Amino acid sequence: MTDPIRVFLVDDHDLFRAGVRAEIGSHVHLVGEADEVAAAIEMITERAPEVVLLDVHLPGGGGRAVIEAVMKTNPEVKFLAISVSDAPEDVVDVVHAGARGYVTKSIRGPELVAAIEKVASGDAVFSPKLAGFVLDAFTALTPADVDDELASLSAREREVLQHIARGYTYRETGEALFISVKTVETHVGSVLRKLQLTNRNELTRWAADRQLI
Amino acid sequence: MIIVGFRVVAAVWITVLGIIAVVGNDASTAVVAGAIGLAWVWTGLTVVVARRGKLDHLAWLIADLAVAALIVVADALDGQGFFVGGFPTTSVLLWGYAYGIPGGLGSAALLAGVLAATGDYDLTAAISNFVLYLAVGGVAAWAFQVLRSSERRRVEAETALAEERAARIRVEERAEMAAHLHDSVLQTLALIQKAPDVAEMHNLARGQERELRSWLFGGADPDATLSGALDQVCSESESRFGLKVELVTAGDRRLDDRLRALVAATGEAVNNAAKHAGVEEVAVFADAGGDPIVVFIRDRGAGFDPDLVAADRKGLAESVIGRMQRNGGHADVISAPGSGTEVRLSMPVS
Repeated sequence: MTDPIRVFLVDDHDLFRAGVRAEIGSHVHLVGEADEVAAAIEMITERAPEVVLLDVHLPGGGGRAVIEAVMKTNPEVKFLAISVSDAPEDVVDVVHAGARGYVTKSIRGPELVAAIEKVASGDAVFSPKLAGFVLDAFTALTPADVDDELASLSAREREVLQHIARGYTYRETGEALFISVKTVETHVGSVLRKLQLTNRNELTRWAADRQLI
Repeated sequence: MIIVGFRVVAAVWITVLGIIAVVGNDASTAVVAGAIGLAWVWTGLTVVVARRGKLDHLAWLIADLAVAALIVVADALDGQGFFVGGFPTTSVLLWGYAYGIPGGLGSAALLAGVLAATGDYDLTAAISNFVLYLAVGGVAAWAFQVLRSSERRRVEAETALAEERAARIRVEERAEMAAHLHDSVLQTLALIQKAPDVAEMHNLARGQERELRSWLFGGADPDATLSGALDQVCSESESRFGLKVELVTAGDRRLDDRLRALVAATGEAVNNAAKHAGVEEVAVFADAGGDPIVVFIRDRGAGFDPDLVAADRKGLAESVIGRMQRNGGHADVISAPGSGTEVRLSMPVS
């Protein structure tokens, strides 16, 4: 329908970048690559891609540093976080910084392309893992921790997240709850917004406590 | 501490000698009482200063020596009887403690000089007093030095020991890590090179990834927590059937008998999907944040009509539904031919 999505790839593993190039190179327009924070910031601000596929763990400050720097000058750039680790503090931290979604490196090529398209169109990409972490975080954060409006998920948002955590796609979730895919996307977007407005210290504490169980 | 002890003993000593001097030798009551009072007040101050660790400050040392000299002078003024006892000597000890042998000898010489100059002694007594003070000052200062150096040697020895222990622990950790990587990752890599097909290769890599991840980041304890136990049954199914289990948990709880039953039912449901659904991936989601605790096991595989349960589906009826009911829980199986299967388990919190 339109031009392929302009994607920038940030990852410090050559092998992984080569793999991603091979898998999605023919479906999107890869405008550049970087393997560390400073170079990533410079090239992303210069080339203004639509979507940045961003490794959570990066030398020079991590994915969070890239998001924070680019957001200041190019707020329209959208980030999709990708990592090999499922450590909740890493994942939630990078989403809190402004990533529009999170996928693991074991994701298959077509799914990755679909996720990039979703992020480019302004939607959030919640993998089952991320949905689980977010449910967990909002359950653990007591209402006293945050402003009431943001403290808790609505019953509907919780239901949507639970379905995603169960492995339902957005479409399947909509069918199960008798709502449209668009409504599911709206709910997920509002969960993302609530998460990003939550106090970072509270999230850090949640992640730390979670490790101690 | 030693000096404070000596000083208290010396204060008692001067009190006893003072009383004897007044009663037995007709000494001046006012002078003796004044000296004893001064000795006790100064002893009290000594305790306070010692507690603040400031006994070796120069100002205190000079004041201390002055008080000692004053008491020596008082001894000479009382008219009759020698009652000063060991009190001035404690000042000599203090100087020896603070400034070593020169401090001890110097303060001893000064006090002995004051004693000789003010007291009514013959030459022999004066010399013997002088020598006595010098001996106390010198020996005490020397003893303090010996104590100090042995303490320093002990601290040095302990530091060296701690460093050596830390180095040994580092070496042991490195050896343990090398051994672990050899037994796990290297072995698996060798197996992957020999793997007959891609599925087997995939299976080996997936199993190794899981193992290494839990070794590096320390997974939850499989014997203690729900999430740890679920992780274990899911990885067992993965390696047994060569499929991928996407496990997501929210919240966690300590394992009890009911939750162990819930974990076992989950494992059976995953195995069932592996055997019958014909899929490569099964999603498991456990929400332990509420009551009841719920677990969903979902596949996008063949599906079946739950009302027409074949004999070979007894596993699901017995190991999953029956097990949940026996333990006070509940299980639902939602499936239709061609649209996958979802098993929903719920276990009330006791």
